[in-house]
Amino acid sequence: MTQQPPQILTVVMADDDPLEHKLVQRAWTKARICNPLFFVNDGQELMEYLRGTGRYVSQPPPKPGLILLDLNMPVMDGREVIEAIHADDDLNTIPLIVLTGSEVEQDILKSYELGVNSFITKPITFENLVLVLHDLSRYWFELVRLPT
Amino acid sequence: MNTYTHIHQQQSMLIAEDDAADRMLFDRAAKSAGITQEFIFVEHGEALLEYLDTCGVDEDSPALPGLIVLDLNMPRMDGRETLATLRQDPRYKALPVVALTSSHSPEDVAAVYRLGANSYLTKPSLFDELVDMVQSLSNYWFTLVRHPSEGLS
Repeated sequence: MTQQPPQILTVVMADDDPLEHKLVQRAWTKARICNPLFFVNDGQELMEYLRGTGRYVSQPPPKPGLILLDLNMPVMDGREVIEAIHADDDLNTIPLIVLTGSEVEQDILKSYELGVNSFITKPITFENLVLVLHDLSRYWFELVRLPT
Repeated sequence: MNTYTHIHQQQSMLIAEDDAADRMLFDRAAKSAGITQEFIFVEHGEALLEYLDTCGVDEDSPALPGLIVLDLNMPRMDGRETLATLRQDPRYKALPVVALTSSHSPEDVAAVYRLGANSYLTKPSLFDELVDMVQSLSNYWFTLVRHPSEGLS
């Protein structure tokens, strides 16, 4: 088995807003994070990505080191995704981080109860988004031991 | 101070560690890092559960900790058993738990994530690294992330 060093693990982010993809990618680059960041548009596409099915069947992508998840998405929302990932023994060791604009306090408690590893509110300004992504990547890629 | 933060300074960090020298080093590292949270130490999993049972009982009792740091190898009730117990208890299943251990085995890492640990950290060998680790833990869990107790208020 070949092991990739943790710093080049891919991060996959599920968010239904294409403008958000552009903004997060810009902030990711600005924060000088070298891990590749891949975007999917909803929960169903995320599950296809993780399982190498559907749109990803011909070229199954590498298993990501970290999943960033918006809660409010069409087709399959964040809560359904959390449950599906936790029920899947091939996927339930990948850390799941909710990164959402939601300020609903019940979402925070419910997400932790469902088993997310962290819940982070997406900042409104670009500058703060860069800071959040920087601190998040330092914690998960430099301090924490991720499953391989 | 960063402006993006959600500061939970009033919350404590609860550390379960059976080794007295490691507890002392952790305490010293927290002081070196200038951490303002209260640190509470317990010696094994049973003591951790006993402490949690005293939290939030009445207005004089302590609040639930903001973060639990769990050594995996402890007598009486080890970290894995403690984690499994916490995750089955509706009162504690949402509490952030970081496993801290000297094991580097990939099987251990995966198993502990599967049991519901929020993160897995290996114990640093140098004191300066321990200071950095405690600082990063405090910054991440007490300023960057939202805490499940916010959903109870």
